[in-house]
Amino acid sequence: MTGILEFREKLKSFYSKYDIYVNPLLKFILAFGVFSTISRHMGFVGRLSGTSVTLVLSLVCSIIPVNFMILLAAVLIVVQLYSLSLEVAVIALLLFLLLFLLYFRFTPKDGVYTVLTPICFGFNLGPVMPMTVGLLQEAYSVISVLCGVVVYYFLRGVVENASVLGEKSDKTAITSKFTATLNQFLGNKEMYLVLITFLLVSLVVYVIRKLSIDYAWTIAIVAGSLVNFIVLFAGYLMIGISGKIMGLVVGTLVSLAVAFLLEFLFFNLDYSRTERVQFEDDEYYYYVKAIPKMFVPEQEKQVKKISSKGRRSDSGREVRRRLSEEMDIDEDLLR
Amino acid sequence: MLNQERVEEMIRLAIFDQREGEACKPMIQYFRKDYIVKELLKSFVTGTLAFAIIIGLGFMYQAENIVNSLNTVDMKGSLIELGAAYLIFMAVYFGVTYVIYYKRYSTGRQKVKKYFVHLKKVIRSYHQEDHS
Repeated sequence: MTGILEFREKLKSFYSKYDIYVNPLLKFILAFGVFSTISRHMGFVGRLSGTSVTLVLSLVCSIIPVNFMILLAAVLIVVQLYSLSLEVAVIALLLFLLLFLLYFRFTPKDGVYTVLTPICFGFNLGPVMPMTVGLLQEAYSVISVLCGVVVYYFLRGVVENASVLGEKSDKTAITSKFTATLNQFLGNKEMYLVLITFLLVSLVVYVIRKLSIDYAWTIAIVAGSLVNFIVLFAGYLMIGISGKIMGLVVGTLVSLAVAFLLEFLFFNLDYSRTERVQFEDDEYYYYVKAIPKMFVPEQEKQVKKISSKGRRSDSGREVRRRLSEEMDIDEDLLR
Repeated sequence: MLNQERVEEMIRLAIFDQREGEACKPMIQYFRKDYIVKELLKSFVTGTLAFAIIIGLGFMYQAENIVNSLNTVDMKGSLIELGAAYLIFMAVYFGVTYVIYYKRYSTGRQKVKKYFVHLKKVIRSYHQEDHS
């Protein structure tokens, strides 16, 4: 355990030291994931689907804010869909616009969850997102995940029915094409099931982790995973969707592991050292519960020099260290 | 010689400026009422547009049914229903806008107050330095 805690501290110090490089790298990885997913599943325009284009776009996105990346991804999707069918592109454009107007006008910072949700679905890790949002964000942030679910099911439906939707049609068939495109998500019962499940999971996790009980985060994670599994399992049986149970089990277990990783990184408390104090002032009586964070200081490696010159230098350093401690000043000032 | 305490305060100010300066700007530019009214006006435009898109998508989804029942449908009644739906939608949208921006203004105002506390410390330290 000590080793893992030390590793966490090293990771934190590494990030704080090199965040100027780490942040663009993370943005690049995210953008590469997004654009390569778009190219792989919706590569209707050959020229825009190559690795070189993906790399260039990802590089650009590594130096611009995440929201511009989302905008770029939305434009790319609409262009790719336009190549498939004008009607599909129009619906996609209207859907993105609607999501922007209804939700991202209020919380633009949550856009990243909308982007990450379809990617997580691609790896069968859908439940990771409502758990993450429930653990790390405010309750309303789950809406960004729900937006991501709608986008995922819409795009998946379009890709699965690309051959039908992409057929050249006469004017009379245009309306039915609009209907067929909208049916990809409006008529998708599985999407409604996932929306309800994710909403429940996120709210359960959020409410429990806010409770003033020991191991609140752990209980929240386990409860969220159970809700996810039970509701989806029952839902699949009710709707009559088969062949998803294995994926559901694996997805839930991996999500559980990711959630515990998040807990370890962001909320690792030592409940054995909990302190409860009570005090009062003129207006209130306070019941305070203080739980210390688990923390292990990084071990400093010291290299001792055996030579006589080195020994002198070591003793000099020791003197400087003691003097600086006594005078409470920086050791470098005594050089 | 560097004043360590002042440098610490200035670092706090710079971090605030970088992270939340832009978001907290309206809290020193507007009174709460003006700020919320400004956001409600924006919401009027975005809400109307969103409603139009929803109706547009609904029309596209039900296009065939709507076209087929065009001769039998009660136009006046439909328009009244549409108007009522718009009013309900906008009322909810305005409500959400009001709650969100009321809360945001209160939080932002608290942050700005803290910012000014640090700023005052910096100014005081400059004054002390000038007088000493």
